[in-house]
Amino acid sequence: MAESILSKKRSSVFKKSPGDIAFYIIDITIFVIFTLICLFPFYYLLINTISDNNLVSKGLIILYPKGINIKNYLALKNVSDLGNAFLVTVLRTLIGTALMVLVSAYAGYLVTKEQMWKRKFCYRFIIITMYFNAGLIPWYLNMLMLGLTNTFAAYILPGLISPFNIILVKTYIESIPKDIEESAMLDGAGPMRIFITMICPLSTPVLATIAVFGAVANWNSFQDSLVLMQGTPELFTLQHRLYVYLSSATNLEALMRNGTVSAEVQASLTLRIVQYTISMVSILPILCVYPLMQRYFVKGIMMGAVKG
Amino acid sequence: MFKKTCSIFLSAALLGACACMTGCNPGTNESGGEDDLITLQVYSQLANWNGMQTGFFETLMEDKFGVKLNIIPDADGTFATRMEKGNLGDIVLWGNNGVNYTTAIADNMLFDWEDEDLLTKHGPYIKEHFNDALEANREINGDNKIYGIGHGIAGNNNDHQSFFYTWDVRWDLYKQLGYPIINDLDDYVQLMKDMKEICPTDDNGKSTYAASLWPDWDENLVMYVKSFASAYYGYDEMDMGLYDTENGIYHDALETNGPYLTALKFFNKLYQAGLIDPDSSTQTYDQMSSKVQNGGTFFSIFNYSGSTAYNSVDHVNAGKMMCSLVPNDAKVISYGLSTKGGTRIWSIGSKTQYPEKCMEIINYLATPEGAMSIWYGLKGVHWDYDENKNIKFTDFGRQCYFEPSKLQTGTTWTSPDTGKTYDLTGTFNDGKLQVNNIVWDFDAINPDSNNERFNYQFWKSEQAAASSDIEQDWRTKTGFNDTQSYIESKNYSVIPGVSFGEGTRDAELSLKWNNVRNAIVQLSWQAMYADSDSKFNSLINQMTIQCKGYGYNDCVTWSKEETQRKFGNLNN
Amino acid sequence: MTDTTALKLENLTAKEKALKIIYAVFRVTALITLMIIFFPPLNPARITTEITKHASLFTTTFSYNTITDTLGRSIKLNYISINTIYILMVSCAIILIGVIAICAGACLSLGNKTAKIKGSWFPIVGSILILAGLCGIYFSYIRVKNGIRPDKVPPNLSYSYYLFIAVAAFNFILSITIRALLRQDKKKQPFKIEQKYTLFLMFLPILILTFVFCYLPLYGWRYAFFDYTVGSDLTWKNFKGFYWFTFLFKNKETFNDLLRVLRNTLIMSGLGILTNWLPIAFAVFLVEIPSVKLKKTIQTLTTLPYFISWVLIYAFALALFSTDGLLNNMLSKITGTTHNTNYLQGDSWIWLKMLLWGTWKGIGWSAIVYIASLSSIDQQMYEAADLDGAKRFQKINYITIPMLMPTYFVLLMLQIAGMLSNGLDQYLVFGNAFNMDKIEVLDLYVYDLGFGKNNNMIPISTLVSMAKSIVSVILLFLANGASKLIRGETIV
Repeated sequence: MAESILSKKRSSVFKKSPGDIAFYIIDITIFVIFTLICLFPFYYLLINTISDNNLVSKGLIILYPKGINIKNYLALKNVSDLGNAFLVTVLRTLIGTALMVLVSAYAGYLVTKEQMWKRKFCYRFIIITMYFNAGLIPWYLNMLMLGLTNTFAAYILPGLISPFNIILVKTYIESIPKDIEESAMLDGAGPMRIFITMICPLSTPVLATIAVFGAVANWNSFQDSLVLMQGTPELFTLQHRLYVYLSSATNLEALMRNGTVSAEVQASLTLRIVQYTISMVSILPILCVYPLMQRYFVKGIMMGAVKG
Repeated sequence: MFKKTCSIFLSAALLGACACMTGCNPGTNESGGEDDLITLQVYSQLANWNGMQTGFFETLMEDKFGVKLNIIPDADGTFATRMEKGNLGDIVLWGNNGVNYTTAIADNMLFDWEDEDLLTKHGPYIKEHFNDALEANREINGDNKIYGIGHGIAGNNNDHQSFFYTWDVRWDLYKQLGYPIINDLDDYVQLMKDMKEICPTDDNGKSTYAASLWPDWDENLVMYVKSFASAYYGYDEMDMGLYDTENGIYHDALETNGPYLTALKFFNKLYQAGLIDPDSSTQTYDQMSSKVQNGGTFFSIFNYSGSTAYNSVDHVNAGKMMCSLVPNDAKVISYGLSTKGGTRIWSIGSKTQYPEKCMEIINYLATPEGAMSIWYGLKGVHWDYDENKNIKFTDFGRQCYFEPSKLQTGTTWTSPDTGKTYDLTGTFNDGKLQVNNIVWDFDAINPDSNNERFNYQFWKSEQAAASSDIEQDWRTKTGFNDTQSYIESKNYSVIPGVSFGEGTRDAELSLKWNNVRNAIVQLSWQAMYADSDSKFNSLINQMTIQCKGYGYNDCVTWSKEETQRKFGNLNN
Repeated sequence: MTDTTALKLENLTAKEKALKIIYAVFRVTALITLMIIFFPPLNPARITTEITKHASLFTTTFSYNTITDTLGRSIKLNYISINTIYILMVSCAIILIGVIAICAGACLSLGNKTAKIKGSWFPIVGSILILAGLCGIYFSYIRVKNGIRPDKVPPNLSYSYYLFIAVAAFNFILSITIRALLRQDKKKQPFKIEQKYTLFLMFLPILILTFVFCYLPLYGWRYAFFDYTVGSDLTWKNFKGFYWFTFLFKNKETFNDLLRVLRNTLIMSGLGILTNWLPIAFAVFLVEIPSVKLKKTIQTLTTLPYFISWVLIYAFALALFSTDGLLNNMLSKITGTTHNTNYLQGDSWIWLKMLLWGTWKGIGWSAIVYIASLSSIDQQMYEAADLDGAKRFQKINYITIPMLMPTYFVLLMLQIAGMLSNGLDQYLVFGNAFNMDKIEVLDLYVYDLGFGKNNNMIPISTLVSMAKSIVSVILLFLANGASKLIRGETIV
């Protein structure tokens, strides 16, 4: 009873003033306009992939689709081994992201413990790796040396250590009040127990965030598949397969350029349409899964400076 | 506590071991295990495809040789990493025979074709028919052995390839203007201006232009300008300039009133008359292509960005067509056919477990039937010889050739070797051999045929009557039935087909070269867009000064050395 | 009486001092032993030169494929027996277990007396195992030496074999010494390792993983000091020392190029840093929108541009800004005259334009971090502020923004340290003959130097990579120091 009064009282206290309304209108307008600007290229890609290809290749589809069909997406059926690549990528995203989040949380937590021997050195050891890059060939030779070429483990193991994500976790954990940990330690809990039972549940926003970052990175991964999996095409990732599909469309162009053969009639499936279709196919799964993770880190959106 | 620590260590070690064991993937380099099919790793620097060969060619390879092909193209660092690994692959196809090729030979990465009588036992067709090409290869290898064979080999040295630069122009507008005589470049500029007057807009009401260019393919020089110079003067592109093979004169790019700058001036004149598409310096190839398809350009030096793109059924039925029109003063370039083969070498890796299979496959592709399968598909299904040994498409084959995304499902092929029947799958385009290299030249005479070339444009079965009035008009006016014969009657040059090992540039020269090249390309575009002649001249001046600063003279010296090495008749 | 006890005390201290030093040496040796497992040039198991020179001892233990990749034909033709390979791999596995044992001993040495004593057995066993494994390697070497075709499968026993023997022996001696010097206390303490060390040991696997995947490849930086082309060995003959360092500066024009490129890079990065508060503003003001559903939708949709590759964004830009694109069409319709400007061509305001494209693409995505951080802010603070009569902007100013500051500062410092890297794709697609002067950043310049196409430019691109890395790390520490001065705490 007292609670409902309190909440009622609260809402009457925070009546909207004209200043508030003006602010809301400006705020919403700016964001809606920006959202539309963000949405438009996506919309543009979409209508170009579902319109008549001849009109698209003449550059006539700009604001709305004409001659709607889904031939371009059906053509993907014929891409060799696309289903296999899809499976590989999904597995990689699930396993790789889960393990990466675990390792990042573990590392991020340990690094906040000030008693750790040589803590500063350990932290810097990890962080500095963000700033150097040994180059493509040394990286490949390193993977060769580790025996990871042409294996699925090559997708998982290097990705376990993500310095940026570790930084995020560390910064977040440091903002959790220390007394929670201290009282648990007084009860005799060891660092691992505190980590599993207390820190992890409290850190769901940041863990969900890095899960999203990691999942997107895994989903879009291309270069490691390209360089490391040449002996085992069945391990190509989705993006790699789509890239091959795209290259095949440029094959025509390349043939003409090399002068190897005389000109052939332009296939109606031009390079640009293939690019658009591929892009849509890559983005759509992310858009479907993304809202699932969103609710974890969007708790902040539901709180915020002003209630009501 | 001690036990706990121990167990932690043990489990960590086990986990690590497991992680690595999941890595162990036995037999990735050997047989796939299914049906005793062997997977061959084909490293092709020319391929645009990555992964297993699919479609009808896969069926062909499985039936004939019991192999599957895994095609590995050249991405960033692929060559370096494979060399460092120590194994280039089973079959290796080279983009050129320059320093990478010779380094591989020096490092024992390629299989000697005469070792263990490989060529005699498994490559009989090559041994019998391509002796010149084999000897040419022996010469460039440096250790008197044969490691491979070049591409584009012909049966004799007397002929030339079909014309690549066709000077396509809007024939209906030319007819409207009364067929003015075109002698030189100024006449062409005038023609373009006149065409713009009578046809100011394209199919969609947008502006028309003489030409629409694209910057994607620029290499040492602006591609379109360099090609135009080749098409007009008949000089071959050679590193940092153009080479007149007949008179042995090298024209470097910045030569005053030289072919490159003259061609650039031509485009600038067109620009000043408002006839160059302003998007040319920023657009991609297919942006340009869509403009051609809409009738936005009057002229193209290439057939694929001209007549092929424009002459759709709708346009032709409306009486509009792009056809070949060569200025009388022009000397169109063509490349001579040679028995020695070119620079894109077929070779076998030295670490392969199956050198015999590799040799047999290359041998098959060197036979006329194998060559035809690369371009057209399977004998009997896509093409065949008639009773007089003339080559013809089957109906299905013809459809596939001109519509490469056509699905092959529903068609069957019976193997002449094993007698088995297979159902074909996938699209025609994907089913073609994806290594992107050839043994026979497309314009060479097919020895199994009745003196016809591999190029379908020359087949008797493909000579057809004019499909429209406007085409008939062109035929009547020029007096020829097809573009090739027409250009054949004009002035043209033949660049001798020579087998040539490309030279290397050391690091210092590479840096200079890169800087010079960037300066030439960037300032060429800016000069093309100059609003006045004085602006054009000052930009050319700036280009010269900058290039000289970067070391242009050294680049030209090296280019001339290369030219002399290649053709042997340099006079300046 | 007092004299003898004093003497005993002195002896003890001397022994303990000696033990301390020996332990330090031992731990360092264990570390080095672990590291050389991963070094290809120090691989004792490379018993024939036909095994790739990039195989380390680790490789020969686990990766059957890497060993047999080049030996396939030789195995098939029986120039080398498959059993030899198996023996080799088993021997290497034994060595590896020995090394792990030595490392376990080093880890346990961080504990108390009981831990140290229990742990002192490990290195002894480990060294013996290593020596046993080395015998196995020698055995397979002999088998190769007696093979039928030594020209196809040349036998090889490098100096690293003897190095390993020395290392094992040294470890053995150290561990025996330790075992001898250790004396159990009268009261046997329970096994314990201090928490500060256990935390470190828990973190150790992370360090090892990082070392293996991030630090080991740096060995490739040695290319920058040699005249290296693909396939060539790095010998003293083509050692160039610091030649490549001055290479790019020698030519006056090239030097000016480098300056120009650096200018472009720093300007683009600088602009990025100046506008890096935008994601915070985005997050803060997004949260202020009253409807939750609207907020969630906006948040999802504004991340869309992040997923579209730069190549496609450029295609889209062409559709908008080329001469017959949307912008020109609309202007023509509105003003009645034909507009035919190619907006993508010129170099006017190009830095700003690139900044706008980059911001539009990344802001929704970057804001995610801040939105997540917002949920860690204690709601009670807002309620207390409300009771104090604080208005909206005051609350943002005094609560929200300060709570987001830690994250912001970390990201800011990271951005400063990453000043020399702008990425490649954006500038590659938008670059053309007219704006290249201003748009060419360092990454694009290095890419254009022909790495990948031109295999003799590998030393140079390695060098530029190396220089960028060193400068970035220096910048990081400078920013760190600045942060300490300004805010009183470091970032890293």
